[in-house]
Amino acid sequence: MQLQTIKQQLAVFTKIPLDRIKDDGDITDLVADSFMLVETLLLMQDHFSIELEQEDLEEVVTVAQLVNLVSRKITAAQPA
Amino acid sequence: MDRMNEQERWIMSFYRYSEITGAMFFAKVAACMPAGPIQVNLNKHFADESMHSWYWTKALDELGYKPIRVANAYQDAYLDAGGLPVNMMEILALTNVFEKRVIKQYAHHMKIPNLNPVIKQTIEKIIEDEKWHVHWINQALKTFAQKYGEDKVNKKIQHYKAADEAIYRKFIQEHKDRLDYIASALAPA
Repeated sequence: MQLQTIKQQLAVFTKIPLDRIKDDGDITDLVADSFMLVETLLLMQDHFSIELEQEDLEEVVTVAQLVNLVSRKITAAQPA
Repeated sequence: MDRMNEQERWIMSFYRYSEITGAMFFAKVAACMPAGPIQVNLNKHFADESMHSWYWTKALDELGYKPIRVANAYQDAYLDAGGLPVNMMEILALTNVFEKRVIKQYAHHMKIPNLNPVIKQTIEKIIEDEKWHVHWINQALKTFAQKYGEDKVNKKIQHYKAADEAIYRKFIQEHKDRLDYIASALAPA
């Protein structure tokens, strides 16, 4: 459920229809350029009240990897 | 167009395109930033960069040059060399390094003897704004140091500094002929 919500939000921020965002797709294919990717990541962090760092994204290439990363951050940010 | 004018036209076009790229990037970041002093300063910063692109456009027009479409701005190389900044601290760390490089480059250009007064006046106007950019970002990074720790912020700045040095070496290598030509063509006989 959380993963689907994250993916839906990604669709909103990239303005790409949800059904065209493939889990195995490259996240850089969702945006026109690197600056837009930075913008999208900032919006995701603000929306889900999480924080990402450059090092978090080192192994992230696909949509599924990004969605899973955001999900882990959301879970980690929840009060115990 | 003689060779000197072509080199001048190229470097002014490069500066113009880099300012445009900077403005577009900071506009996006300003739009994402939550309300507060950093948002206020970011908005001014992006407005300044936009104005700088206008100054270069106006200068090119005054000198009768059509801007050249430049393939890559200086900033594009940062993301390739230093990786994507993904939070505001990292964005400001990268910008801190970049703005200092911009000031150095403009100051270096100003030292060329017999520099065209249109170019000189354009750089003088821009450099004043760039000094404020460095100042506000330094202040913002101090507040981030309270959140992330000074060590982390400094490491990120050093990371982008290393990227900047590599990029600048490559830039100079690629455009040495162009820059040397401008300097020598204007040197006193």
